[in-house]
Amino acid sequence: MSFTITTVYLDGRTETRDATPEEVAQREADLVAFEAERVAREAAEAQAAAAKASAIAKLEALGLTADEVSAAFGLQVT
Amino acid sequence: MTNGLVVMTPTSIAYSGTSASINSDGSVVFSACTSLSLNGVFTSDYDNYMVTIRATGTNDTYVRCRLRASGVDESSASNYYVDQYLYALSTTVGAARTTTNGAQSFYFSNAQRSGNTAYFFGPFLAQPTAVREVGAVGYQNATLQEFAWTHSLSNSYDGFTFYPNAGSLTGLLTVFGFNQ
Repeated sequence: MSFTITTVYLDGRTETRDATPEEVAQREADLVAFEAERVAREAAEAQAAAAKASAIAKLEALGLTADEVSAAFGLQVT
Repeated sequence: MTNGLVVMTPTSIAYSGTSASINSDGSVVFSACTSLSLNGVFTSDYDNYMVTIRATGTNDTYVRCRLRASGVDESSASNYYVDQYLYALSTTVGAARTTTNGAQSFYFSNAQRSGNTAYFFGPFLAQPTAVREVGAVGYQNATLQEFAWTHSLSNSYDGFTFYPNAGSLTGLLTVFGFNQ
């Protein structure tokens, strides 16, 4: 991966340079970290959604209506 | 000078992407940027700052932020504390927390629209900085979002860098100092 960085000064001067190896390495590390975080976050969200659906199903099996589940537990039955 | 918000014109900006420039009113306009750094917007004149940003992005993605001093980003993961996130989209209210960041979440971006206000508390002071961001984003038509994070070092920072996890950003931002 390579990219350029352009600096703009108040007096209108601009300087464009190639990113340093350290800057490139940082961006590459960022991308790896962000992707890992995205995967972990989506897994956590899926797990939470599954737990919510399971809880709603069990409450409805006890005889609660969708409105009662929503009012008592704040769970939106969709 | 009366009390109120004072526009902080950057002494310089640095970007990767298509273009960015400093407007005569002190705001910064940027187009298809994968990163944008502002230098010299935090000074000894004021303790606390507000940053307003309107932007669109090519992706639905988090936008990250790093504090910056003398043109160099602070990027050590161990120096950023917890990143806390609250959101409301559709009928869901949720939260998330990340503890090992080398950059903190700034806001969530999307292609339709986003408007965000970030507050930086004491970035130029030689003490740990705190940041809080609130915003609205067009993700799933409308999402309410709020981020909070802290930085551990007692260092002085004169600017910040922000960038999307993926894609690029187009928009305009202004930094204000709280004069009191």
